[in-house]
Amino acid sequence: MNQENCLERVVKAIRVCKRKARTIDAGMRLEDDLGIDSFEMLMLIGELEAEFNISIEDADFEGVSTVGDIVRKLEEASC
Amino acid sequence: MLNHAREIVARVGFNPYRVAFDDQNLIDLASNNYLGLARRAEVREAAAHALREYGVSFCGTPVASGHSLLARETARRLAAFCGLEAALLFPSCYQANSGVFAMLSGPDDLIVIDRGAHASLIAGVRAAGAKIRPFAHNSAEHLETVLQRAAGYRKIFIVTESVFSTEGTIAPLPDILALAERFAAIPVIDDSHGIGVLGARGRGVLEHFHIERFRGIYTASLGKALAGMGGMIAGEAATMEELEYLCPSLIYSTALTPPVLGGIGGALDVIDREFAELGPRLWRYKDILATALGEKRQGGGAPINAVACGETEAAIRLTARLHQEGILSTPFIEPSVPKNACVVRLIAGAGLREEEVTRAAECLRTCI
Repeated sequence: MNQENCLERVVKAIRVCKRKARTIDAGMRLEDDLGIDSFEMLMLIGELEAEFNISIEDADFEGVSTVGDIVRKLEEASC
Repeated sequence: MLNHAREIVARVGFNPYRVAFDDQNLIDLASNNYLGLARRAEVREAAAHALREYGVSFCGTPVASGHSLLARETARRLAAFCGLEAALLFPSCYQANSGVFAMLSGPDDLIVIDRGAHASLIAGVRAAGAKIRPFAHNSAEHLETVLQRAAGYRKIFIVTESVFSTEGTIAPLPDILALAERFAAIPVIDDSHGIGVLGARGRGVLEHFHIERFRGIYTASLGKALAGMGGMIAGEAATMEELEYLCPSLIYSTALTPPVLGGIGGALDVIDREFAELGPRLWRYKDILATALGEKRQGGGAPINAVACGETEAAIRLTARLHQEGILSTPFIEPSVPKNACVVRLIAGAGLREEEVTRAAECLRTCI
């Protein structure tokens, strides 16, 4: 999985939660820029599980704060 | 977050947390007194009668001294009112919602919950230790997608509200119940803003959607249209019996007081007798405010109007402006709503006089 492709798929998952978001890029902060709180993060994790066809432990995403962090987590998981 | 709110309150010079409700000249568009029963003579008298008969408090939990005939009869009436087998009474709906999931679910279960669910439901599902997967607000389509992915769970719960309190959107309950049936999931419905409001006789969301033989968990606040306080959980008798013995937020809380129980009985009497008049008045008042708000209105089909404000400060400023005009309203700010999605909520209860609602509508046209 290359980084660009991974980012596109993460953005696709985020758009399910944040339909009105205009632009989403790797540097954006989930809570401050996109308004994704800890509860909505669970919804995003569900979408990531579906998009990448993997199972994610919620606790593994506790330190995640930016879109790029998600990409890195998923890349690590696929290694 | 708290400091941010304090700074705004100081800057605006108005504290919505500390508005005295005592001022009888204010037009109340803030409370959940949907039918105006909180000040009705019959309801006051029913509360006073229970006070005289039983005293101020039972001074005990239900398992100690709080399981009175009055409490049992109130629970029976509430269950029958909603068309359910049995009900349990809690000191608050927050305690009902925050306590129920830990009793019914565990780590092997999945709880699928509406993204916009009330804080008490979120607290409850978090306490259960189950896997939690929120679905997009009122989207049966997204709910179905989430359920299709669910595999290997012992039990699945679908949690939603009938009426979402911030904007008054109504859940597509028939679709949700059909999905619950299809995926063998247990529906949990919070009808706090539906009981006494929705349905031809004001009996809530189940009546509104003509749902019979509801096989799930029903919760509701008794402190809104029913003009009391406390909460209820209702459903099948066997499930209620289990919860009665297990639910800590019930077992370890002092029972609802006699005047509250008496008042709820009085409120149910008035609804049975007068909903045909009170219900339409409530909807008419909603329409008057909705017309005044025009495109500024944000909201759904329930008798709740909301004004989209964006940032916290804008919501508090509008609340302050309306207060200056003699109107009490409710700002919904973070964390109750998502960031920059603040609203001011307006509920015109049937207890208001039509000229008060008309005056409020005129003010809204000027202020917004």
